[in-house]
Amino acid sequence: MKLFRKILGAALCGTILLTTVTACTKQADPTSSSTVSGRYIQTDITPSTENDNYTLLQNTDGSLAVYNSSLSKKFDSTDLGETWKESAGPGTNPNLKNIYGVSADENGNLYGILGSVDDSTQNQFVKINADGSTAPVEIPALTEAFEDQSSTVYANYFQVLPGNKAIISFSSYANTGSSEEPIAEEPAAEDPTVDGTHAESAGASLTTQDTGEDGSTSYTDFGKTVSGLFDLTTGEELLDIGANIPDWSQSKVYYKDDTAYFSTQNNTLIPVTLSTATVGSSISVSSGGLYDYGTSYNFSKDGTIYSASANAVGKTVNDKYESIISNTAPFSFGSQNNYIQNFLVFDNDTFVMNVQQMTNSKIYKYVYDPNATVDPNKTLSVWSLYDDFGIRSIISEFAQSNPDATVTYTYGASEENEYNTVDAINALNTALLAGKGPDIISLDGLDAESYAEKGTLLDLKGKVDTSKVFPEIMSGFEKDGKLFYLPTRFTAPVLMGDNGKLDTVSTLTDLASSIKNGPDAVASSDPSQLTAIPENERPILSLNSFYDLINFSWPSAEPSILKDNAFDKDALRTYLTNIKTISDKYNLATNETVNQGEDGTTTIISGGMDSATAYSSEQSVYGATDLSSIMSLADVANRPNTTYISFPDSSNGTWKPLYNLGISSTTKQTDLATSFINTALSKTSQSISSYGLPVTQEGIDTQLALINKTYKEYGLDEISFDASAITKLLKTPVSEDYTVSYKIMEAARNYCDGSLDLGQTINKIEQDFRSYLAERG
Amino acid sequence: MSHIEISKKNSTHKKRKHAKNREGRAAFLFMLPSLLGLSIFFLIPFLDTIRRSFFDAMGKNFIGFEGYASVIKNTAFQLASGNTAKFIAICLPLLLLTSLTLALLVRIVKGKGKIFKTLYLLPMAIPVASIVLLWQVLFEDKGILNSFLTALGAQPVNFMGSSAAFWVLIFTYLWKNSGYNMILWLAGLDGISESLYEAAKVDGANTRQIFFKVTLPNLLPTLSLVAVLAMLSSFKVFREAYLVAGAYPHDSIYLLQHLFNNWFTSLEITKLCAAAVMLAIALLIVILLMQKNLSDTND
Repeated sequence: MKLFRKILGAALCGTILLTTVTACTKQADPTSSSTVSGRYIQTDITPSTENDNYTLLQNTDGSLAVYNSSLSKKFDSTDLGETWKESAGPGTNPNLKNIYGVSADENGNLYGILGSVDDSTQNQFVKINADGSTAPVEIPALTEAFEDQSSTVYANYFQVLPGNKAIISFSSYANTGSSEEPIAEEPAAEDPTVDGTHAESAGASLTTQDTGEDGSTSYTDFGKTVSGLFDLTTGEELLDIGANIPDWSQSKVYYKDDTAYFSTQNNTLIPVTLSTATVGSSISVSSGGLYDYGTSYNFSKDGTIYSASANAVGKTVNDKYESIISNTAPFSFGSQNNYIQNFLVFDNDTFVMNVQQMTNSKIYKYVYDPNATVDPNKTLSVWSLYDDFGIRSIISEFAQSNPDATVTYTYGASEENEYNTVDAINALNTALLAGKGPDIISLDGLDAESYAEKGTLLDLKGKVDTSKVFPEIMSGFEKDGKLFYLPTRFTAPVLMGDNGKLDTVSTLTDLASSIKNGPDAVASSDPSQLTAIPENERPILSLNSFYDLINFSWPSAEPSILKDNAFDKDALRTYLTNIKTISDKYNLATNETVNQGEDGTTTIISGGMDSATAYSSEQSVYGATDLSSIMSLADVANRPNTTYISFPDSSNGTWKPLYNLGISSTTKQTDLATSFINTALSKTSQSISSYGLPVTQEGIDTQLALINKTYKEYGLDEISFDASAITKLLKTPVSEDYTVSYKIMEAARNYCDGSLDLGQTINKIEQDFRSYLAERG
Repeated sequence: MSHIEISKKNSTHKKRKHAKNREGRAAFLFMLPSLLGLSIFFLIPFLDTIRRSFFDAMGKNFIGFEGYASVIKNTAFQLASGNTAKFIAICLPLLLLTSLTLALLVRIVKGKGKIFKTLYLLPMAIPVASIVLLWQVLFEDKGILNSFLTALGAQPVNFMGSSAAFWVLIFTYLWKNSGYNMILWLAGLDGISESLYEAAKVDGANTRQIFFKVTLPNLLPTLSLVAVLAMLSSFKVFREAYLVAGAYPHDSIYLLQHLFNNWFTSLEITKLCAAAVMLAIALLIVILLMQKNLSDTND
């Protein structure tokens, strides 16, 4: 009995200790990941070093065939890309030009959509023979559309399937679109299915008509879309896909035997028996998480469904999803800039993917190596508040230049914690205090300055190569000879306008006064209608919503209003008065519908002038933009006598640093982490088009060159601009504090819609921020 | 006393001592798991909290009393401490009074008292999330109470965005905790010997005299326990306040836990630890004073 008591006591103590230790270990480390023996190895098997868009095909014997974009070269491999045999493709025939897309049947016969030599329109659907000669394929519905001179046809998707079948989806857009002549000529189908991006009902023409209070009418053409399964022999439409599979994601359709599987946006596959064109019951598949868009599906020999998305590669066994390659693996398919075009499954869970990148495609092979082990000395953990494709892009670039390294990517706010940012930040803080923080921290959404002051970040000075970063960017981050974090992208709210006209607008008061004395807003979404307005009748500023007004103006106003953890009442009063002047003139606050979702998200349904920023300087005297991409500069760059200044207020020159990266002071991977930040600043990463402008000249130049290449292909004017004109505007970096901007937005809205007067609004703001600011004192 | 007798007595004494030691060891072994838990989850972390209050955020550089000085000067700490003290000062007497009254009433109805006991305990069983939903339905701008007020022709009240929020919090605390404290009082009341009441009745004491001369003095040990537990549970009301109004509620319900939570999020670890130590000391002093006063009264 005595012994029993002792054993019982010892067992109890042991259990408590074990539970405690396990719980503490699990709680403290937000980046914990299990070490696995064996890993997938990614190999680039692209057959040519030429930057091109390749078409990857799998022959019936399992061998691979690859064509370059002009079809002039064909590469064959019987050993899964280990070796390639190059031969001349049909594209060597000089008569084969302007190929918009190709697809191959089960026997390797090529079909393509060809374009006109004279312009950029598509006008033929053909079978392409090995010698480059073509034979038209007669699909009456498509031919009629091609021949209709009043519209332009764009093929959204086409794919040849076994048994002489093809999926073809195309849209017709009217060649002219004016407010006098509505585009809609055919009545809409009885049950047109609209998924928010395109119409998928045969014959449904999506043209919306808006009639303003003044009787003016505007039309928006969303085109007429036809999606069907066609018989290539008879040209007959066998199945109206738009009507029968309305939520088809328009991604590649994979088939097995006589059944083709259409993937939907709801993570299901819809089987269609090709011989009878009958639709079967949907099969539930999931890649188990966020960012499942563009998921590709394929089958192994035994019929198991495999899926590959930006999220992961996995398979569905007995209706249960099993992850094979996790989304945190540093492979090249894990970002929006690396879209999976074709996904092939081979024995032993070996995969081959054709991944579309910015301007070219790459073919990768993924083979599981049971002997490969994870080197703990080359394991890097990356943390950001939200799952961010910009970060994923950097990880992808880093992985390619460090193939022996393992990167784990953790994002704090996810579906699991209902996007609770406070919980996410607290988990990060717990890990940092326990010395188990991530190696790389993306400080966006955090109080970066505070993290630096508290000693959680490593001094990067002398470690990271910042020689190519704009000095104006660096000057805001180097303090006392130390650099704890730095942005790898940026945006800046600016005001665009004709040369000379911006000279009179140096403060928000000037702008508000100018707007007050200028013409009223014009509510229309038709750019041609807006640009037709005589210059002296154009409104002063184009704004989409009240949100836009605050979004552009608050960053410039904040430094002078919120100083030393206190509000400058006079500056706040002036700001609110100016905001109300602008809002009243354009009915921004009163013309806005705000929907509060159950998940706490706020959706602004309408409001403001409903005009597009991209056309703003043609529609209004001034236009506002936050320079979130090179494309956003196109309007300024391509218009003579147009320039831009920082969005005016007392703190001219504010800008927003983005993708602020720092290294944890407790990292044991200093070299690898430093290399990661250098990758983020490298020419390749900076040339990837993601949110924000690059922080290096070469990044801007490369992005510009890539855009101009595309513009040239489409016959558009190339863009050119002087980056120093932007960087000289950058004076004060402002990290957006969402708590502050949200509360200011709410209070300002209440003032502008008349719910509160000026005094009440200022009192409300002071009350709302009292404890918030006091905590920082 | 013969040598044999002395030897027997010594032997008995030794046996008793041995038995006592054995009992002590057994008691210690039984307490050990709980002691271990207490040490791991409370004592050791609290010692680390004390250590961190004298160091910078990452616990590397000694900064002395700098953290304490900045906490004392911090207006958010002053606001939160004031609100928390005010909340306890109002809530505690109200809760003790309400729960004691309920306990006495439940004893009066005797047979049907069991139903009331269950009913009063129900609020404790309701999850915080449900209470928060109830709050929103009742107190939001277009909630039930405001609809009622509007129907009566009165102006609607911004319950959660004005100083009314404090009283909403008081009401919720009383509603939720009265039942539990009533049970504690009932246990105390059950502990009073029936013979005392009978003797008082024989001496001609009326109900009021019996309450003040017999019941209340005999409830003082229970009062000590109920008061300490009620005070500690008053800190838990933060959950409701946080879930309804978020990290930055109206000033009137901005409590110490809001501040602690926000300081942790902004990595103000030194301030957080210093404030936590100060709070622990203040609580300890209050509890010791309460116990001393009550034990003096008992003596």
